Amino acid sequence: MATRRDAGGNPIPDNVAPAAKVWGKENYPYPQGAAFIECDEMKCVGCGICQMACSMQHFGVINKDLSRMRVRKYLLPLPKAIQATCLQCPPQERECEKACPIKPAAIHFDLNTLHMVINQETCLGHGCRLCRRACGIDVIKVYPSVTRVPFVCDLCDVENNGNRNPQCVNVCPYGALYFKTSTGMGGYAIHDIMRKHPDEKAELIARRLYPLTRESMVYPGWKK
Amino acid sequence: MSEIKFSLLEVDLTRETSRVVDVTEDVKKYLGARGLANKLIWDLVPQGADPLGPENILHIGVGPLTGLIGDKTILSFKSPLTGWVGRSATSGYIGDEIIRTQYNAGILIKGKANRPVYLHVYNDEVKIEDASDLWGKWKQETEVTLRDRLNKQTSEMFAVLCIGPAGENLVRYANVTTEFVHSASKWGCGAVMGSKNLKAIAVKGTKGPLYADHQQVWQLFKTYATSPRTALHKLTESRWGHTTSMPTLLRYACEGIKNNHLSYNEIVEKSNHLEHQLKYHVWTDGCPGCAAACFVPFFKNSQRGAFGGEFRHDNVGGFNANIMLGYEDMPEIAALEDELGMDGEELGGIVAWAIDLFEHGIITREDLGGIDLKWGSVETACELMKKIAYKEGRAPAALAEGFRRAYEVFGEESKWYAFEVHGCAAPTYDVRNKHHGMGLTAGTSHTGARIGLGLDSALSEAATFCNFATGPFAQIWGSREEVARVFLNAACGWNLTVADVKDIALRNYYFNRCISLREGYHPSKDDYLPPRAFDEPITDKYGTTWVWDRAEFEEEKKKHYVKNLSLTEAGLPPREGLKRLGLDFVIPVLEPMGAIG
Repeated sequence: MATRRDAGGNPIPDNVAPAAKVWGKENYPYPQGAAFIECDEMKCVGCGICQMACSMQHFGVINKDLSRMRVRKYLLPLPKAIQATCLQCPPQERECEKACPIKPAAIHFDLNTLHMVINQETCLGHGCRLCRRACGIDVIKVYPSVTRVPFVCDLCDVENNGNRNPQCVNVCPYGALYFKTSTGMGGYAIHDIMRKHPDEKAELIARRLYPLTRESMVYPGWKK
Repeated sequence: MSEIKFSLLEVDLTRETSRVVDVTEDVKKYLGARGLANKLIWDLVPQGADPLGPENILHIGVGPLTGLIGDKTILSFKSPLTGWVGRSATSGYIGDEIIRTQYNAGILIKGKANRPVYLHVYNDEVKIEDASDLWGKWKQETEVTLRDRLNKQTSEMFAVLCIGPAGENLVRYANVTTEFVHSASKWGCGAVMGSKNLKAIAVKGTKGPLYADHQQVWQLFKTYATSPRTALHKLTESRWGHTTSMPTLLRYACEGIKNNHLSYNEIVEKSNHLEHQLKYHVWTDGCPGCAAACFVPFFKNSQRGAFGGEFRHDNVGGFNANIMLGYEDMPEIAALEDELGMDGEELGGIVAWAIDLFEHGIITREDLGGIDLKWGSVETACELMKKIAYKEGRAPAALAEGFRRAYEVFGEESKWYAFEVHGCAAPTYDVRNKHHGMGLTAGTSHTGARIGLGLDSALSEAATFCNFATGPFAQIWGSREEVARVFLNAACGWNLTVADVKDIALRNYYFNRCISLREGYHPSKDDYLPPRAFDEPITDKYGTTWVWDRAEFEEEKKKHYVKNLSLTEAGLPPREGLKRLGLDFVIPVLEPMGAIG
């Protein structure tokens, strides 16, 4: 009997019941040209299954801190989860690439495979973090005990051959992640509007709940 | 595939020390959380110890599957309300953070701090910090202040478990909350934390979970996450949360109306989950690793203030029609309950009882510190709740001690109006209703009248899977035992069979019951229902009348012990069963008490 494989091409152990149809990317066309993962904050429930998929795909373990997708749980003061991931910004707005002290930049957009890449050889390592600071939304991740070099969303093209297949979008039970073509002038979205730190997004969402008149409800303090 | 190790973080608040203990062998025998906690309570808490004294323990239990099938954290302790074994379950991401510190058998709190403190756990860094500035604060402010402070120190988002003023003041049904809306409510774990001067526990882990085979765990998990069965489940849970159960139960005479006195009444029609959702639902939130996402917080801005929170059966069911209110009035009560930190089910029953006693002249305005209690009044109910939390006045202070202790203050005549089993309020799942109610479950429980007491929970609360998340798992894999087997084997590297899993469930159930038996519970003297269950019939909306006959209850109880709980007809664990399951060490202790079948 042939080995059963799931939607990601991985073998399914015999004790697993037949895999069901995956929803997510099948529901809309595969993007042509430059594309990115868009986060729909109000749909996200914070299950973190995207993070598990991400760390499995890249490191073979389940560990949210090894995920390129970021999900933070806020108290606004009601609990709300907010995601953030690399927006594969257009050249004009690619602050990480501009900030890299190496020339050519170790972190760059690969025009052949259409996603961000960090050069393992030339990158100065997790101690530098200038790209991370320039980006400002903490989606260039570091985890020194496992990798010397930071890591960033490569749309699950692990072998860097152009086969983009983001697993997080595949598994998200709430369809809160879209793998879609960048649209706008010249084929590029204006990403700086969307490039907001989760803290900033949280503050905006919290405004739905204000003004609060009850004394015990306190304003989320992280911006103070 | 090698087996994983299980580590327990043991914190002694008296000595201000901590250490990590390897409990792998115990976890293999009992699983984690409530299973392991049985052993800890049996070994560490002396027989007859004061639940509010330093000898009691508090186990913040996670287990092998926390974060995979829901995100359950089970708090275990000796209950200050019943004096028997106690456990409270909560969700939220606190469990996930504990798992990611790799203290995968949880955190054990011993002793008592000499000043208000909070426990700070950041991977290997364990500190007992001063909490004098947090002491006295209501829950939301406590949690936001602490999370904000730790976020500034570490730029990490900590998960926080904390108590409110009720826990500090040792109200015997005070609860513990995380993320403001996830409560570990039952049997007074908040009072246990308060008695230890422990205001909060803040945890952050970045090490990732320990699994024997990550690839296999992920394949199992992905099967769940992408199954159409899960899709259907999540559509219901994520839209309604738990707001739908109460209107249904009210119509079927399964939920209290006017302190469980009334049959179907028009007040029931005021609990409307569709209206509630369309008006006040803000978004949906879930626990790590769960696609069901059953938390649907509400936010209501009214002339009386802005109220946020969550409707659960546990925090709304006891109030609502039971004090002659509807969903429209509940946001304020639910939010205040969460802020003060009390078990809503218990408090609902207590407040309804107090209104009843006031109406019948058994307690007076002076007893209540100047409140004119009445049915259908949000204002007076909130006033009373605040007084109970701070134990202000003769009656509120007595109510804060629970039914059994309050009888001594209010006298014999107050007993008829109390709807309680084992000293725990039973406003929900009306014990008279034999179809949907919990008469037999509550009446035979060794922990007090609550749901989640049988063999099912002995498995789920030890393997740590969430009952609200289990549905699609059980549909995909066939049964709960099979779910536990495949996930435990993949996560821990074991080779369990379904029979092994069933044995573990039975072992944990017996062991749990044995602790209560050691602490004074005995089915012959404790397993009965309140007089009103036999003498005050109720009729549901569709015309069925429910009431127990005394002889019938005794007969059904015996059958329930044997058929559903694998006990003897007297409700005791059988000697042969204890021996077979490796629990023979309890026999010498329980034998002289006549507690072995």
